Parts: sequence; structure tokens; C-alpha cells
Amino acid sequence: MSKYLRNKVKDLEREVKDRFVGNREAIEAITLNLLHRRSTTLIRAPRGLGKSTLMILFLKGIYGDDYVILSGASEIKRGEVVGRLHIPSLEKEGVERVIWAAFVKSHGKGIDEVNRLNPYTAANIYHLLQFGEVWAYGKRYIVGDYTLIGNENPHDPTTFIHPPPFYDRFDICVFLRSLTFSEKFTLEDLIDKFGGDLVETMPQVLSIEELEEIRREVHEIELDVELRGMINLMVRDFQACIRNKEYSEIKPPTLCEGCHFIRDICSKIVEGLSERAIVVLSNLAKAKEWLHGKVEIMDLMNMFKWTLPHRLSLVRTKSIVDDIQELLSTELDKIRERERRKQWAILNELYRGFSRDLYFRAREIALEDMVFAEELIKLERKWIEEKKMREDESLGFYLRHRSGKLSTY
Amino acid sequence: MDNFIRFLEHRARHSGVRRSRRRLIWIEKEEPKRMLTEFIDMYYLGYTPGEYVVISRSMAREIEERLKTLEEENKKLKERLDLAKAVILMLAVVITILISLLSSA
Repeated sequence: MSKYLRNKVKDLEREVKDRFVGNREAIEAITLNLLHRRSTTLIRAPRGLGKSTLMILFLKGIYGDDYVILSGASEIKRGEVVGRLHIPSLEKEGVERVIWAAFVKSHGKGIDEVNRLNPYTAANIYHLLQFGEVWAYGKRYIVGDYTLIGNENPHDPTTFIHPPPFYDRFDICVFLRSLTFSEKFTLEDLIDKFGGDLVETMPQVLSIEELEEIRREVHEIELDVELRGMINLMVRDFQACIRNKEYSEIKPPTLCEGCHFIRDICSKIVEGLSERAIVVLSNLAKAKEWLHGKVEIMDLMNMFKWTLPHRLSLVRTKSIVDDIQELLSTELDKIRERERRKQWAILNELYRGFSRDLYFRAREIALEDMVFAEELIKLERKWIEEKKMREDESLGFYLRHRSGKLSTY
Repeated sequence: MDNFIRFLEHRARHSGVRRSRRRLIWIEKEEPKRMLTEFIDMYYLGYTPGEYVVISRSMAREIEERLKTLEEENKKLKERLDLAKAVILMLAVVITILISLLSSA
């Protein structure tokens, strides 16, 4: 069954690639992200690069014609997003009966121009994504499994600024690029081949039942400890701040002045990742393992590329795609450096028991790596309680007094 | 927490670290560094620099001061050199005049 379903997913990806020129990585990312329950994808691109086309190709490939698209550019009423009152019931029986909107009931959901949704509509959709339910006139509707694909051009002048938690509910964010010289010829050939309509000719490749089965199988995959460790470690690298920026009113780069870790990734990030990023990355890794049989470190790096852009707020943004690529490249160096320093083996030994020599080595390493420092400081607390070391010789004590304003450690 | 310990044990097993009684042993290979290198480490300790070399603000000021001092020294030396050139030129002219006077006498 798995092999049959895997082939179906590969067929879906191929059918989309047959109709959508270039942007292979974005198609592969969306395909992987479809394979878990309540999948949400955001496609970002300037106008005319095929955001809506790609969205519809995927929705058609999974749901045929049984999908609903809301358009942020048009005036959307509450009744179209959530539900409206059934007037005859109210007039004849005095009962408030709600007719739930097709958008709520449909498994295939699309939002065109997410950035142009008015704040009220965005709030309703946020509630749906957050709690898996909608409310209207005191009645609740539990939303089952779904696939939601949205698209936006963030540089559009009529953009509403949606709050970060709203974007955090989108699992991944992929960017489309314009076509190269030769790809433009390919597009013309494709339009000829499909009779001028790429979208209408897209077949339904999967059924809802097959997608449910795929999502069940993907959910049951257990990731190995190495992969889970790498995901958790990298997410922590994009969160950690020795000066506790999460609760600080002063944010980087001002907060970082005089900080020991000023050259680390943390000093480039104003708002770090939420824990939701771990869930998303785990789902993507499971999907990759289910579909291709293995997940490597570079696959994980790619998944980060799709998970970070709409979640991170950077100190300086030139081009978010390039900036994130640069951060990931630094992160990769950091991972290699950790390997070279054998720091996890040292920490493992320290978990087994206190050794003064090894502790001093770990202390040196901790001054280069904040995530390692956090774990070492936790162990220090235990050793101080057990009177194996004094507080004033601990790393926690040193860092607290060095920066003068710390902290939760 | 158990999974965290499992992760550490897994990394330890694959890190090439051996345990010998109470010691941990591993062999470090010289690898080209791609991380940041401190200027001071590169200059005084002879470290192979990574892709980026960084200096602290105080070190930058010190280097700036040193450059200024060297430039002033350079300027003074140039002035002395120019003076010496002028003296040599004058002496050469005087010697030439003297030689011509002596030869005509």
C-alpha cells in the first residue's frame, strides 16, 4: 500500500512539475508539506510569477474541483469565511441555525493574496488554524483535516500587516523566482501543449481517502534520535539569547552591545523561532523519510529554508531568502565546529559524572557555544547542590556577572 | 530527557572519542577553519584565518593609533630624506664648481 501511495504522491509532484516551469524546489517543498494533517503552505512571490497557478494546481491535484478559494483582494464577508444565519429558521421557528461557509467545510482551502485579507477575516482564519474550529452566532463547528495553501506578494501596496502569530500558523513559506531565458520558451511550449490552460488540464491524482491514509502512515513514522537532536539543536540556535531577548524591551542589536556572544547567529535575530517550528520540521522530515526513504543533513537545511522566512524577524533584512541562506551557512559551520570539539561526547561524560578536568574543557567550549553553555549551567546547578564545585567558579556565575543583567540561567 | 541522553550517547558513539580508564582520547585533524577568526589569534598565535577575521573595537582603535604613528614616522623620515637629497644635490653642485675652478686654475 505504501509503495502505491508513494507513487501517487510522486505522480502528483510530476503532474505539477509538468505544468509549472522552474521552481522545482518550491514544488518539492509543497509536496512534502502536504503529507501531514492540517497542512498549511504559504507561497510568496512578486506579481505574475504563478503563485495562484501553483496553489490551484496542487488543490486540483488532490481535491479535483472540490476546493474553495478565498480572495484577499475582494470584499470578503464573515458569512463567506465562517458562516451565516439561516434566515427562514429564525423567522419561522425563532431558532438561530448557522449555515457554515463552504470554506470551513471544504478539505481543500486556498487563500489568494493572504496579505490583503482584512484583519477580521484574518482573525477568523487564525482561529481556525489555531484551534481547528470556528464559531458563529454561539455555535461551534469542528474543522477536520484539511490542506490550506495561501499566497501573497508582501510588497503589494495594499498589504495589511498581519501579526506574527498568524504567519506562524503556516507550516512553510516558499518563494518563487522569475523564469530564466530558456524557461520562458519552455512555458510557451507548455501553454501550447496543454491547449492554453495549464490549470484546467490538471488531473486529480489523489483521493481524500488516499491522502488520509498517507497522512496516517507519515504520522506513524518515528524519526531517529540523531535527526530529532539536530532539529531541536538547530531550532534552539535560532532561539537562544543569553540576555533573554524574548522578555527584553530592548532588542538586538542594542541588546547585544558588550555581549560575549555578539558574533553568534543570535545577534542577527530580533524575534526567534516558536516551538511550532520543531513540529513542522519533524513533519517534513517524516514526510521525506516516507517518500524518499532517508533524510540527510542537507535535506534538513532545505527544510529550515522553508520554515524560517515567515517566522524570523532579522536585525537587518536585505533579501530574506539570501539572509536566511547566510544564517544557515553559519549554522552549518557551527555544527561542524561542534563535531570537531567533540562537545556532545564531553557533555555525555559529564552527565555520567563530574570530572574537574573535563568540566574545565567544557567551560571553554561553552564560551563559544551558548546552547552548550545552557546545558552545562544546568549541570552546574546540580553539582553546586552536591558540593562538587563552588558557585563562584561556575560558568553561570561568570556569565551573570560579565553581562550584569542576567537572567533565567 | 531520556531522548536527550540518547542523543548525547549517540553523538558520543559516533564522535571518534575513546575512553581509556578515566581519560577521553581523540585525535584532532587540522582542518581549514571557515568560522570567524580573531585578528589577535591570527597575528600573535599564527592561527590559520577562517573566511572572516574579526577584531574588537579596542583592538581596532589600537591598530588605528599604530597606523597613525607609523604614518607620522613615515612623513618625518620622508622630510629628512628630501633634506638629505637637497644637501647631496647642493654638495654635488659645490664639488662640481670647485673641480671646474681648480681645473681652470
